[in-house]
Amino acid sequence: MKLLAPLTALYLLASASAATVRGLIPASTVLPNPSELPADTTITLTTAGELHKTFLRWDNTFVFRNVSEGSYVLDVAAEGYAFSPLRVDVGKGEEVAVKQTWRGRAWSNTGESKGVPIELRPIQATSYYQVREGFNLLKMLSSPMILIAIVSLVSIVFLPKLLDKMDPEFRAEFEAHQKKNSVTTDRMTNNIANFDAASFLAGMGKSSTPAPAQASGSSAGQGGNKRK
Amino acid sequence: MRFFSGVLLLPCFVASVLGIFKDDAYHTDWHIPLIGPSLPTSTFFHQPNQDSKASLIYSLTDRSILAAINPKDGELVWRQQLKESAVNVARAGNGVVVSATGTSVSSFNAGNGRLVWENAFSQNVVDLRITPANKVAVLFADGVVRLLDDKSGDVAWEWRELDRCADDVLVCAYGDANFLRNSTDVPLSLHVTKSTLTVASQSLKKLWVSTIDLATGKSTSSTTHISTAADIPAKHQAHHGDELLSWTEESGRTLKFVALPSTTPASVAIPNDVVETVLLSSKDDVVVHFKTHGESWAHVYKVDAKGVASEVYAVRPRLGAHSAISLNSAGGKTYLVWTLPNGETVLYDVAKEEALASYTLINATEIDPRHSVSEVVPRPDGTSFAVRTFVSSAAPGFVGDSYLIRNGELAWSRKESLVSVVASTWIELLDPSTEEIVEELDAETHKSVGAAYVHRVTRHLNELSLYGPAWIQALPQRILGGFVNKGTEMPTGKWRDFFGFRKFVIVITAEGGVAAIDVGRNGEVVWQASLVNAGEKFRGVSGIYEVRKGHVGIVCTGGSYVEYNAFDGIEVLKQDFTPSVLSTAQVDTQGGKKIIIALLSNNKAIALPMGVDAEFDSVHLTVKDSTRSIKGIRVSPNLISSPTWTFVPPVGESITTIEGRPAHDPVASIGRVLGDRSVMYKYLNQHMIVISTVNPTAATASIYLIDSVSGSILHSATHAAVDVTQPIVATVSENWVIYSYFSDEAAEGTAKGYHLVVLELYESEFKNDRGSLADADEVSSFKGAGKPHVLSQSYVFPSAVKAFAVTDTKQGITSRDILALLPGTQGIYSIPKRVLDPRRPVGREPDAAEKEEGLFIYTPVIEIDPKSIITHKRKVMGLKKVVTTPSQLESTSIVFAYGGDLFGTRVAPSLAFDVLGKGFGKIQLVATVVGLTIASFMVAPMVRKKQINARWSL
Repeated sequence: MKLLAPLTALYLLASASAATVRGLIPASTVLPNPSELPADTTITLTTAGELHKTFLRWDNTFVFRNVSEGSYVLDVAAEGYAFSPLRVDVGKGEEVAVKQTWRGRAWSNTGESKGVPIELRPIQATSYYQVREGFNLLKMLSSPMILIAIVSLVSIVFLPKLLDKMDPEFRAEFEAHQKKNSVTTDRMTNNIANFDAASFLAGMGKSSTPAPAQASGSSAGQGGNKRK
Repeated sequence: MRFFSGVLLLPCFVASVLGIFKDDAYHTDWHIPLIGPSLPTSTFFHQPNQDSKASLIYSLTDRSILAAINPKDGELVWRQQLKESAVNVARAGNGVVVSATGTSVSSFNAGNGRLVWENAFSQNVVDLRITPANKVAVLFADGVVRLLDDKSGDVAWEWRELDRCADDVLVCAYGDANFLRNSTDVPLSLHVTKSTLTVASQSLKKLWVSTIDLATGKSTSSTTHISTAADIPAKHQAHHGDELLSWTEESGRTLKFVALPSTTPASVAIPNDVVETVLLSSKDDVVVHFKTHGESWAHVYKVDAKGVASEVYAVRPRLGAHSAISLNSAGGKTYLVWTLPNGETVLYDVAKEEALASYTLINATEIDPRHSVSEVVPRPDGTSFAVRTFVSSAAPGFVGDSYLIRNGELAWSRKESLVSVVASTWIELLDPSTEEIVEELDAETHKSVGAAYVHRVTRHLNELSLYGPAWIQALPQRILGGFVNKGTEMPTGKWRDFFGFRKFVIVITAEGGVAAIDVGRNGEVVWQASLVNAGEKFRGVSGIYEVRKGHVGIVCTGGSYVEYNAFDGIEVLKQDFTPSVLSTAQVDTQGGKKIIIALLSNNKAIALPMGVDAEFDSVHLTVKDSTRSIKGIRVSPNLISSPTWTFVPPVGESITTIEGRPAHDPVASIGRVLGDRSVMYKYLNQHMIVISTVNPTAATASIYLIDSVSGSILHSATHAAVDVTQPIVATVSENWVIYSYFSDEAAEGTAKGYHLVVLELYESEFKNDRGSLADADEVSSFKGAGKPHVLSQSYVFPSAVKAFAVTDTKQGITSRDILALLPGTQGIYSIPKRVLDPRRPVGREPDAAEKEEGLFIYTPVIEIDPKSIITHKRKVMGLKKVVTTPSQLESTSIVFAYGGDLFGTRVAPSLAFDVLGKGFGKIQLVATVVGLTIASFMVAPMVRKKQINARWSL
């Protein structure tokens, strides 16, 4: 680098006084292999009236030559990765200062200073595609509605079996408790359960069916028997 | 609370920016990558690295795109958009391709296109050569030669001895003599040998050569002149080989060439009827190719050790103006490959007069070669050859189409001419379900109700017997097809598909070619025609319209009107008129037809096609006179044009863009319903145009909304600290305007970057109020269309925008997406209109009413989410314009982008609400229904048994 200095100085004399901004994209946790970036990865330096554009080089560095004095926004356009913008200030003496900046915030509101050459690290890997919501068993099972359904199904199937294995005294107590609670629901369900098909087919009217009170009483009494 | 509302808003926000589904990508969209017409001296076969056996075609095009093409299939291996410039040179190095565009020089890895280095200078590059050590020698317009390092591109040495005379010196030393200085030196070309560089330049109407030592960068000998007669050099530089310098003398009838380092030129007389002379060389073999309007032939020369050229033989003339010759060395021999206009290839050995082989092209028509490069490999048997030729075409209207001819067979072709598409129009295709019965339906409308009913029933019965059996037969296949989610095959010919996704877009190239592109079938070119004859220059297009069903009318600026059948490309009508055209507009006549009104440069107006008697209401046209003035012109029904208004921006401002509302811009609702069920009436003015201006001295940009009929200014806004060198782009639709610009730090505490501004126009600032329009039933620009109430909001956007487009649906009910064309290969970004809504509350959470309206808190930054890039991972390059059109589905808008590559897709801004998506599990649905049916049949007897048991056990 030092050896080239006289040549660069010569060259700089020929053109207007201007700085060289150097940087690189190092390997990082988000982007372990920057060489995977496509050849059209573009880095731009923008300020009013000036737009410098360069491609990422084969060794994952970038160089802007002949950058005149000013305050620039540095942006990176790379497929699959998002970078945050940087503020690059090029001074009169060709010194380059790099600071963190945020879009939409005041330009004078800068963050931490960064070193030169600029190291660019992507903030995140980005995806171009929307995932289509297909059939997902795990997701379906984690839905609360399905969970409620499963719990009630389990209680219907396994609770009677559980009851059978229970201590007879406790069972009797439990049944008595249930009886109290389920009078109303039983009445409704037993209306259907007590549908007398034979009498219906025999052409008997509804009057012949047992009275609701009776039905509820008798069926409740049979509750335990039914579940054998 | 803050968190909660954020969570609440997130789903609806996300839902509105839903991106592309992975299974839709590459299926619903298509992309034709183009690079443009290849440049003759910067196109070559070259091995990407020394060890590789296969070579790629490298080409720099006049669009400043450097690309590597796979000669096997014509696919692009890589390409890079360089800085656009008129000066483009590319050369092959070892493992790299070095190119110069304008003032910058860059070196790219030949294998993957990664940049190796680049450097920029103050002067344009004239010529560029690679030295044997793989360094790069560059000749600049000011006569300076620089040697650039192969690893870094830094300047190794500089040579400035060409222009030793300062401008104010009258007599100066030049070579071995003193000359009176009356002209500056014009550097022409650079030639490289093992250890020296030779610079050719023109001064005092003579040709000079200077030799430089490659190692030191010092002159090895004094500058010598090598011609005696007055010359016009630089016309014919050698295509290949560095030791040859050629030029034509001032008469234009003598071609001279000199094999450096010799300084005695050989001269060849150019016959009188020759219109183009091309000189090619490979080592010491030189070929001079002559072309007349009717035929072409070539002379082959050999240069001996002393540098004296002698003719070996002449190739007999063949018919056809356009043919191309290329030279290729293989196995110690140099071959001459001659490609004729009909694609026939003739192979010669430069040492022998008789042709080695001739291949007739079977599978192509006229290809009109302009220039070519070829690769010849002799097969082991010694008598047969593998010849492949990359040909760039000069077909009128389609300059630059490229073909690869492999032993007389067209291996592939690329429609590179479509890179220069400048105008387009959509063509509706015919509906197969109604088109065939148009006459019958017509008949029904002219009958009495009873007769029409009988007619319809008989027609239906006829159709049942005609199509019914076939329909039933095809039914199982259709159902099966529906299950395996096989995409429906797009129809061909002039028929549209059921959803109206298939449309034609008729495009016009800058060279005058017309092509019909089928957006439903991946951008296939259906037909093409040329508006110009061979050798004619196209002066541009003023208007292209669908004039009636299946017909496209084109108004050429030069003064002609051409009508084509849009389905098959047959020219229906051609009318010429004078003088040239300034502006055109399509209007509806009172008879329901469509005609084109063209305003000519003599301020007269004509109706096209000429000779049709059409009555129309007066038309208002807007014409940009200069960067300082826009005129409104009224064309009366009897075709008298009169200026109505002139817009002159304030002093210092120059007009950059004019945008009007799209021709098809349906508005579903004339008001905007707020959360409290009150309405804000939209200011809808079909004649609203938006004009953007810049003031370079004050660094400001202004936007003017103008009524194009009355010329009154509806609204204006000025932005400070704007980058006036970057274009301001704007778009108008419905009652809103969106534009973008780059703003510097305008004042302390402001942001720097690209801004997007949205303006929404309402009739009044109050709810349920129509402002100055009161309860007017009709609004007319003549009576004063009132002043709109303008709401605006500005956002910071991470990228520049090259162009905007707005999605367009059939009824305009679907919400709109704004399509922003991003620079480089970043593609097209879609922003939902609801994001760019000036009613978004600033600095506070939206209240209940605002939430109901769908508003969410204002955030100053719109970040680019790659999911909303409708071009997704496709690398679109050079796009300039995006156009949209509705499909038959209200949810879906068809998008086509051109100006570089061609890209087409479909977008559904409010999601595809009227069609089943690919994610709809038909199999699952049927399986569930079948499963439930089976289950209920199985369970039914069990239940019944249980019930009976319950009864009996009582």
